[in-house]
Amino acid sequence: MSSVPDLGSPATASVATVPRGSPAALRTREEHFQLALAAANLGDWSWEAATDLVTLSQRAAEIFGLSVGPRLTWTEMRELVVPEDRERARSGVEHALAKRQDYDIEYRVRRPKSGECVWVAVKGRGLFSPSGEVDGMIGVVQEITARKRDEEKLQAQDRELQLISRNAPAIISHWDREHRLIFASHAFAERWGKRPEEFIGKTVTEVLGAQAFAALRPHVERVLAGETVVFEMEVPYDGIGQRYVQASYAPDVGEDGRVRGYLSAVIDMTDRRRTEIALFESEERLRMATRTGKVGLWDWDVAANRVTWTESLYEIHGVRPADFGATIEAFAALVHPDDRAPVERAIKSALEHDARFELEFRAVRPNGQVIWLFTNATVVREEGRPVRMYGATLDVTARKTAEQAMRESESRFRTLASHAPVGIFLTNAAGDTVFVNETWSTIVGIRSDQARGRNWAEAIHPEDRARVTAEWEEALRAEKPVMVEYRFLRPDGSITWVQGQAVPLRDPRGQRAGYIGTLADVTQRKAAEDRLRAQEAQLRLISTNAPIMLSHCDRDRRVLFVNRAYSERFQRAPEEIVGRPIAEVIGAEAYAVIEPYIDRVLAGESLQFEVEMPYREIGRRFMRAGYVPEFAEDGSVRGWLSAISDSTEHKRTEEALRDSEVRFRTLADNIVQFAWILDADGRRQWCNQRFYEFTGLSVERVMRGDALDLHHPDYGDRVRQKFARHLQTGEPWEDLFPLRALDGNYRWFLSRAIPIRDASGRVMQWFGTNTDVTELREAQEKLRTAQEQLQRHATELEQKVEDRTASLRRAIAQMEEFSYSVSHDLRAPLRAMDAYARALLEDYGDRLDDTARSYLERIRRSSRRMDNLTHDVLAFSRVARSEMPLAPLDLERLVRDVISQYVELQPPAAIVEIVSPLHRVLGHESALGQGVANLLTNAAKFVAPGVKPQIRVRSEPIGDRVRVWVEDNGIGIAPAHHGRLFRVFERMPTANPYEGTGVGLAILHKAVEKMGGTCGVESDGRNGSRFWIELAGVVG
Amino acid sequence: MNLDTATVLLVEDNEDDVFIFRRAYRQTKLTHPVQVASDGEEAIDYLLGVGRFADRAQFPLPFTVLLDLKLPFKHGLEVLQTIRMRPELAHLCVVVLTSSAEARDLARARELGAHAYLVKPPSASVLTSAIASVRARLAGDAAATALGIEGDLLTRGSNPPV
Repeated sequence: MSSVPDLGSPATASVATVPRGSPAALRTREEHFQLALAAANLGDWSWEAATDLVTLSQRAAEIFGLSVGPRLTWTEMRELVVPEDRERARSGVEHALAKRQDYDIEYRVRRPKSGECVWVAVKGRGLFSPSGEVDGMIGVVQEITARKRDEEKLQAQDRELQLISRNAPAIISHWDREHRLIFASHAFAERWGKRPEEFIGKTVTEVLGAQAFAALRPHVERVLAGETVVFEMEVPYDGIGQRYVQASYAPDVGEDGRVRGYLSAVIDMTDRRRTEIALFESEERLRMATRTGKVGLWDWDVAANRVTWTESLYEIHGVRPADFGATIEAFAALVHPDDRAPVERAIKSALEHDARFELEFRAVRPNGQVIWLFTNATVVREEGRPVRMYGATLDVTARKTAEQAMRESESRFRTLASHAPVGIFLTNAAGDTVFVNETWSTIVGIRSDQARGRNWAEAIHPEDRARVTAEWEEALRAEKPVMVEYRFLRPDGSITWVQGQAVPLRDPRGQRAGYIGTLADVTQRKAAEDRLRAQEAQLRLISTNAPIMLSHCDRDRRVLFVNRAYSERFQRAPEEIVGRPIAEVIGAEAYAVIEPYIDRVLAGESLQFEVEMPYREIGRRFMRAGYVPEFAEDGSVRGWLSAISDSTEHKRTEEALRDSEVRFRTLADNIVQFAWILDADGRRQWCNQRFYEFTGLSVERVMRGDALDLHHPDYGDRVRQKFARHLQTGEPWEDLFPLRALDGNYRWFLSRAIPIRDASGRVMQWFGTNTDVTELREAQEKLRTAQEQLQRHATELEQKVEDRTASLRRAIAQMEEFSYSVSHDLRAPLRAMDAYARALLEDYGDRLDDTARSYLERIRRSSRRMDNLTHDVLAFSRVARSEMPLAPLDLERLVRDVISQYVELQPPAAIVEIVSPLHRVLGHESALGQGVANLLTNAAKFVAPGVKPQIRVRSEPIGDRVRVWVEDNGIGIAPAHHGRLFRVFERMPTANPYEGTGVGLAILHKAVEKMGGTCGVESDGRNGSRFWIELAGVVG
Repeated sequence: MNLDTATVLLVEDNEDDVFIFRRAYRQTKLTHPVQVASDGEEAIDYLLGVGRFADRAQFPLPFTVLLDLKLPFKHGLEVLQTIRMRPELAHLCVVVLTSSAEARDLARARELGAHAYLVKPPSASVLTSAIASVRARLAGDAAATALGIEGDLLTRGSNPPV
């Protein structure tokens, strides 16, 4: 291999031309090549080592700013490269030739005539002699100035984007009263694709356009009047068109209180990048087209349908020549299915209508990778018919991916800006705050306009203010990033801990532009820290003051540490204990007890145990201990920590409790009821012996909770539901239901449970009992059945009574009708009989003899007697069925009235003596009057012939009743007849001579009975009769 | 109108009772002509002067009616009610004649404004005093009449107890 040619020295090789094939074929090839180069806007060049001359194509000469004519040497060419890039270019070529690789170097050249500096990309390949010497080089060149500038711009923008996307939320600008721009954020400039300094000093009309200013003017006027304005609207900007923006304007107030200008923060609500990307695409496409490495060339013989690809195109498609069918259909098969139709349409259109063939489409590589391709082509026609298509294809996947990435990045930025969880602030170069975002205001508790300048420092907690401002000033001076944690004292008095971070902001020229910073609310973290610190302090406090004895011993069983409780328990100062063997501290006897435990903990085991310790100083104590081994870094046990508590008292209590528990259990197991305890959720914790005896269940089974359902199927659900309710409400429970005994029979239980609550009132347990009430219940059941039966009988009886009453009423009604008829119709013939007999006696008496006259008298007597009888019977029945309301009666007046109405009771016919005063009685006036009249007239009537009736009426109280006596000197009534005396139609058989119907006393008896009284007679049948009526008396 | 010759109307279906009445009436010194209606309908016709009673010369309007209660076709109480509903008979005095002092008849008769209540058979003296009472009432001495007749005749009846 020959030495690498020094590209800086005059070359010795000539341009290599390696003709191949026939001249015609060569010409075709050449044409083909030139077309492809033109399509890709490339210039080509060659260098001949022998002559050291460089041959440039016309396009290449243009690129280098040379005329085509005289050929330059490599050295001359090299002089065109700007000094900064010369070494890089040289070593790049050298390196490539040494490795026999193609090279691709980008550098700047200064065009000799115009002095203009342009970027070029040069691709070259060494041509080597069979001996391995460099014969020359060939290559292509392209101008990439535009791309480079774009790249630079992009890089700058990207830096800004990154900076801002970390921090700034909005497009921020600052204008003075004359509407001149004082400050513009990068976001602002980026909006118009310019650098901020290109705007500074320009008016709003120049920057945003007259139309935009007209639209914004009302808001601008308001902010210049001192008002903070927030609005959303569509603004017709110059250059970027209609945008929907959200803006807030804040007045910039000078020290004199005048509005000096205003600050504007704008968030573009439209998909603002859309236009830019479209713009960028065409630029990029152009630039990409010039990238040789990604260009593939193709040639389609339309008539023969034969497609020829360059190697690079095979590479682009990822297809090996052997696998490519070399037809247009084979090409179409490689196109992404979704793009196949557009591609075919474009080809057809180019062939038939000579349309421009230029399109972007996706292709699928055999490995499945989807790539984006750009292709353009020229159609060659013969006699108007298309015969060939030459084209170039670019792989634009990277650009597409970048585009996609940029879209995503932009979206991330937007999200960050609108939803930033941190406070963001922006200062000018002097360190005065010019912007804070919403989150910042929320954290600090002051409005964004209050935060301007250095005012934000006023909100800092007084204790932190000096420190923070000092750090801030220092950072400004040194222009270094700053991070400080401090507190804001919010207007509402609360304190917010924040972590503030700020980085210096420079404009693209490297000038200091200010700071952009973030503010994170770390109050929660601070609080957690405080808690942790408090916990630590507490722990320390506990270890010192805990009522538990703590000690730390090494593996030689010497005491390293004891806490206060420990030293106090053993009544020795810590320094008397520390450093001494534990056996000495507690005494040999006690040590003997714990030695096995110490052995175990030193073997690495953690222990909990309780032992009775025979301490030398303090006697026998129950101690509860926990031992934890202390491990060294190598894993060996270095010692142990122990925590000991004196459980002697606890033990005693426990024993007392155990005794009490035994007593309770004995009691509980032997009471006749079941007793049980449930936990708060209703699970059985304990049941007494009776329960197990009754159910035949084992303790284990009941405690496991899979006890058989002891409920009767008819009652179980109801009982469980009710109990569940009580479990929830915590109210005492009572229920009555059957439970199944061991023998399968059910017995009834009255069950009660009460909740047992802890000090806070929460239910801890339920204590319940079941009392067997089967017998009681059966007795009750019987009683109930009997009662029901009785009730049924009573109802039946009532019904019967009702029926009887009804029929009785009917009978009475019939009876009334009957007696009415009797009184009217039956007596009419009697009256007639008497009247006619009388008429005979009166009118024809003188013509009749005595016998005849006596017969007529007998007719008259009989008819009168019949009439009386009828009358009395009616009177009796009237009394029997009539209502008799009672009232207090003046008995004496009543007796006197009766006497005055009957001649036979008055002298000289009879003597009636009234033993005055007679007692007042409760009775029915007319009924009693009738009764008294009957008694008196009877008394006057039934006397022996020739005896003048002597009657005495008197009364006597008997308890609350009054007895009225009517005593006569009459014929008397034999005691044998007394019983029949008051019955209807009973007459004294011996009393034939006396006129009477025998109904009078029956009427009296009935009437007295209805007045709630009684009546009777006393007589020996010889010395007169003494009749009496007894009625309720009236007091007073 | 001369009350001495004014007509008495007896409403009675039982001929025996009419006979008894006439006999007793004969024994009084009364001079009133007696007309007889034998049932309730006839009594109404007579009082209103309809049908065969249209001739008031032959059947003059009575100053008092002696009214049996148990009558065919129309009960005595219905007759009484009809009389009380006719304004032209407003001043007519009605004396009820009945077989027994049934409380319900008595109460109803009083309600309908019967002047007196006589139990059959009326004696000459009872008739005399009853007519006198009616005449007295018509003469304006209402207070005296009502007391005299109703009190004695109705409360006690004429039958002495056994």
